[in-house]
Amino acid sequence: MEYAVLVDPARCIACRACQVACKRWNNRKGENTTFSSEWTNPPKLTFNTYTHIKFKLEYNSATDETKWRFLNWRCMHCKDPACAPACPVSAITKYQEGPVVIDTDKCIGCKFCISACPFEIPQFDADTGKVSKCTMCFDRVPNKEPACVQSCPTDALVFGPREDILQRATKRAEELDGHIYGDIENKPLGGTSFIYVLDSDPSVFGLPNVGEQLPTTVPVLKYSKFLLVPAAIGGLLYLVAWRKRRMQEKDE
Amino acid sequence: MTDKQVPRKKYPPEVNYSSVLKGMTRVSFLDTAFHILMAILLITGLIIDILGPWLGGWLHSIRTIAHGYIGAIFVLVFAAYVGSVLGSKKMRTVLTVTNYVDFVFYIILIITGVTIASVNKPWIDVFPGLANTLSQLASYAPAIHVAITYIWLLFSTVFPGGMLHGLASVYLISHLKKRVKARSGET
Repeated sequence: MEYAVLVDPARCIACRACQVACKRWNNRKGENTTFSSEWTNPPKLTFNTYTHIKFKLEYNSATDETKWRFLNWRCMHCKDPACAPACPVSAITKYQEGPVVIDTDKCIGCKFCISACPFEIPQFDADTGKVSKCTMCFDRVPNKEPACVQSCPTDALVFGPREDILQRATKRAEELDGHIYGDIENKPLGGTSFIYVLDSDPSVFGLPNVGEQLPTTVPVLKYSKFLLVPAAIGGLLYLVAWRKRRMQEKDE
Repeated sequence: MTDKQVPRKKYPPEVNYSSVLKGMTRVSFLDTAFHILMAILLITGLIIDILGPWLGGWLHSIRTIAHGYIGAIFVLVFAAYVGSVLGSKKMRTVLTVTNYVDFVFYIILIITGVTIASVNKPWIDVFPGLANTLSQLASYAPAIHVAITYIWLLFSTVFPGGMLHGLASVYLISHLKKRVKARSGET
């Protein structure tokens, strides 16, 4: 069965309990950070920070009012992830239940997944030479909800079977007169396992406009090695002809 | 007054890989370094792309050291090599059409390689301008890098002066080596 997480930024109070729970469950190191102009801390996802709360200031020119927006941000766990086929060592697995997981033991740090991901999620670490990202707590799901969901005090994150989450998202979108990002309205890469219900346009939250299909660069990356076949045939023919010519010269 | 002593040279001269490498280095150190580094990068790149799914994590040091750091050294050697070619007053006969096209491929491979290395930029923070310039190319860079490598291989195989030129040289050296051995056995 496929599972999903409903993200409701209108309910988020930016307490960042999800960030802490994620660090604790995944045993990730803390980071030395400074207060950033974006208010959030740490300022972005890193090798050791799988989830973080983005702070956005929305300005309404009609009412001349500003409003804080908080967005839980981490891997979207796409249905058809672009990172997995881009990996040359097959270190990324898409599980039936929804999670997309990087096997760090297999990872060679080529960064192809970083380039392929339209959400710019995977993070490289220069010390280990590896890439990491949110695992959707695949070692807990489906018996237990992901650590971030469990820690959320306002139900801004809700975990459940995908169909139930979609129903919930539709209902909540009606209440908010908002949008659904991740399925139904916007289906980046065939849909995502983290589904957002937004009371404003996705662009206000900085969510990118991603197509439903895999980017064309992914099949190019995967299948260009077949150009070796004509190269090998051409090379073989050349060597045969060269050898033949040499034999003829020798006979003469 | 005594005659000047000149050591007698062996004929035919002894030919093996090390003597060829020594000769190449004597003629042009940059040329030799450039070709050796290029060969390392090509072989390690092919190993990663073709054997990656089977070798997995074993390739980590190959990717980091043999393809990554050597790639960085190659960029510097390439710049010096191009400088030496352009600065040379002699018309280089090696600059055939194949070489010119190869040169374009090298440039593309270097730009895309540096772009891939700069994604998530741990080192490129030192050069923010470069990171901003390359970030436009980031999502296309791996596909271009891999595809151009195979197109270059195909091109080098089909057109004269490319890959087969190298293979023929290897064959020729081993052939001459055998001949020298056989002759010295006769005498």
